[in-house]
Amino acid sequence: MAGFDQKSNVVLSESKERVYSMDEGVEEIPLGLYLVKGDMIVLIGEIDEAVDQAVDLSTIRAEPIPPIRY
Amino acid sequence: MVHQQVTVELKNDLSITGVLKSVDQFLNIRLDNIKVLDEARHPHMMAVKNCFIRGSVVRYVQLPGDHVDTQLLEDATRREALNQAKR
Repeated sequence: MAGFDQKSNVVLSESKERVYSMDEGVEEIPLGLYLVKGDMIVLIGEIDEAVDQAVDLSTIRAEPIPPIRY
Repeated sequence: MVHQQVTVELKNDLSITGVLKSVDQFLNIRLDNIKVLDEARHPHMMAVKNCFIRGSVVRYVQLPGDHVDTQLLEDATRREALNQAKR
């Protein structure tokens, strides 16, 4: 996280997108520097590096998280 | 209610349990030591311990019942109803 503001807009450096699916392991797409608008954010989580590194993403199958319904 | 164990249900039907750390004016919520209910189906947050939830995506916050003073709330609503009736 490179920065944030009042409206929970967030600037992420070295960001990665993780795509979850039932058919294959987790696909990780490097994105680089991103500005994410606050209104598109559901949750910001602090990643425990040790746990994250211990997980083999290629073995994980999961449904994508459902979209927000207002 | 800070430092209580709460469950937050999101508008994407995810439920997250954790220790409530703080709430701000937008009802953004900070949770510690989180667990996603139905973790088998949603392993996305395995490595996430603490998180910030945007107030706009929260549907419900489930509070521990024994920490809610219902008597106080009932008294307050009765008083308010009485005031409304007087006007």
